[in-house]
Amino acid sequence: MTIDWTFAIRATGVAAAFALCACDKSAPPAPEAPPSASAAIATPQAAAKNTAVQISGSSALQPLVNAAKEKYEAAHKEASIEVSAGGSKKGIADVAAGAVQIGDSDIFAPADVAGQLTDHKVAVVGFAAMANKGPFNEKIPALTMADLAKIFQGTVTNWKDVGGQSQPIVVINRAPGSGTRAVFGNIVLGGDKFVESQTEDNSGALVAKLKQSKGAISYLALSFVDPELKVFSLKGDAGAVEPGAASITTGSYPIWSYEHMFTKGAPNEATKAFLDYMTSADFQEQVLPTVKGFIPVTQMKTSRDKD
Amino acid sequence: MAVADAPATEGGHPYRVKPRVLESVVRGALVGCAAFVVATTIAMLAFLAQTGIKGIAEVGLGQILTGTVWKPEADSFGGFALIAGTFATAVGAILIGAAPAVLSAVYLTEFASAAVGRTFRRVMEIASAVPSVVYGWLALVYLTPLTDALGHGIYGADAPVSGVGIAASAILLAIMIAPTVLLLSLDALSRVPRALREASAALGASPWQTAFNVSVPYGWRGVLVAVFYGFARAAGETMAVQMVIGGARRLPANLFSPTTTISAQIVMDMQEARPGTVQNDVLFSMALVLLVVSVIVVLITRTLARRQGR
Repeated sequence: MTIDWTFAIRATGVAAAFALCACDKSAPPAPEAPPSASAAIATPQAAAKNTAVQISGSSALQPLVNAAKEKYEAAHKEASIEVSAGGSKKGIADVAAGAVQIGDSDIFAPADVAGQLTDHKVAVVGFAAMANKGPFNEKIPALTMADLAKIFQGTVTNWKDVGGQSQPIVVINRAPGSGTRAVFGNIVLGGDKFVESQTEDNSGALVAKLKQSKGAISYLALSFVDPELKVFSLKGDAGAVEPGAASITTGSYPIWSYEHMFTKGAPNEATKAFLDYMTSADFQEQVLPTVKGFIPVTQMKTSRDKD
Repeated sequence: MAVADAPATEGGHPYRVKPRVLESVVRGALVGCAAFVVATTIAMLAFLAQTGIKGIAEVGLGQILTGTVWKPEADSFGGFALIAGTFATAVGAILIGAAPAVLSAVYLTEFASAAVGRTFRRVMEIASAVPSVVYGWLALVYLTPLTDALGHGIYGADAPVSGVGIAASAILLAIMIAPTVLLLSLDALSRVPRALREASAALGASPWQTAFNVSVPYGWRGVLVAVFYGFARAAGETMAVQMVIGGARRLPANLFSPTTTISAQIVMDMQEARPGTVQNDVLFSMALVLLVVSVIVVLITRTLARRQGR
């Protein structure tokens, strides 16, 4: 390709500058759009300079961060915490690129960015296989690790093959960027070996989908446990282990991960203050236990340094 | 005004110079605006081509067009399922949506009263302006349970079928493109000269005969343009399709099995694509494929439209 890029870009720039000053004089209806557009762009930038903390990433961690945000903003009138969920890998990518102050993740940072990021472990979360409730699986209280692996690799495709009644199993996966998918895949399948199937890119949407799709199964953080969903215990040599704080802290239920909040370099004042609050004894002991599905890191009698 | 004044300014009176200056400023502004729009488009196309071609060079055109495994997280970029999904949903939308839209247009131009035609046109104009996310959401809530029942009705209660997939997407797209196809067909058929219709009636032809022996043969190219335009719109639709296609990156087992399309997959994958990575480049390659398809359709449409003008 031999296009002269410098010229093309310069020509575009000149044309743009000319068009902008020209259009100001000549087109009365146009000014309505630009001011609002530029205001929309300017606001987050201006806010970021003051006290806004932007957070993106894991949707499994989102309920806890939202709980912290509520308490924190009530106590600090000037603070503004903005939380968006788009998957753990997006959280890591965003914070590494400097697009947000904090990247939430269910997984440890990959080797290529781990060096630039500081890890703040704020909680532990358990994960479980959850399914659409129906007569086809009401007699299955627990599944073995091997059963789960076969279901999610697509080798078992009917509930009758794992002790239920005849009904096709509809596997719904989280998107490849999901930390829940990474954690569940690592621990249950030994890697991302999921059968290619229907995909939801958000935990909340997945809960709704599971309720409405007959025979469907997926995997979710315990914060999304719902009375209308079937939650499977893990069947092992010593009987069934129910997912929960007790079995996770002692290490008898293995499908869990740390909830990480990554910062890049030294956090700014507002970010540091919010992280200090989330790791404070007050939050960890008073607020965190009231949010469904989260376990304080300090209660863990087992630990990990990789996923 | 300006035209009438022009000869008089030859005299060179100072106060007459001003309109000419203003005129050239306005002219310059208009040229500048036009240049800006064209330059932006060219810059965008050039960027898309450059990044897309880089992606093709990195992975290979054969792999992108015919490979069957799309797993960017494992560096596998086989786009066949995505391309097939795009074509299947767009063709399905035309098969379901185009005929009712075109026949409605024939009814409105040939048989309906002026009041009915006007009302119908207004309703269709509103329908074509509804944002696609609204269509997608409605389809997710109300259409997918129906397609789920239809799938189980066809393949049996125990079959591995679901409400999402090509069937749901094609029906949704058919509903979405029908107003546009109808409005464009309406325009094409209303360009049939009144003299032709009157001549036909004078020869004793019934409205029915006039419609199908005079108007449709005269305007069919314009109608075809409308259908192609509908196809291009269906192939590019993203938001609504993403909500009901299922998002499984594989060829579907049947019409009621989750799969994906080029645009839906770009939306899904772009969140993790960091600039400079192969994944990012290949996503632009897929965008380029979509653009090339659209350009081909537009060229066909233009050729047809030009012949229509004769």
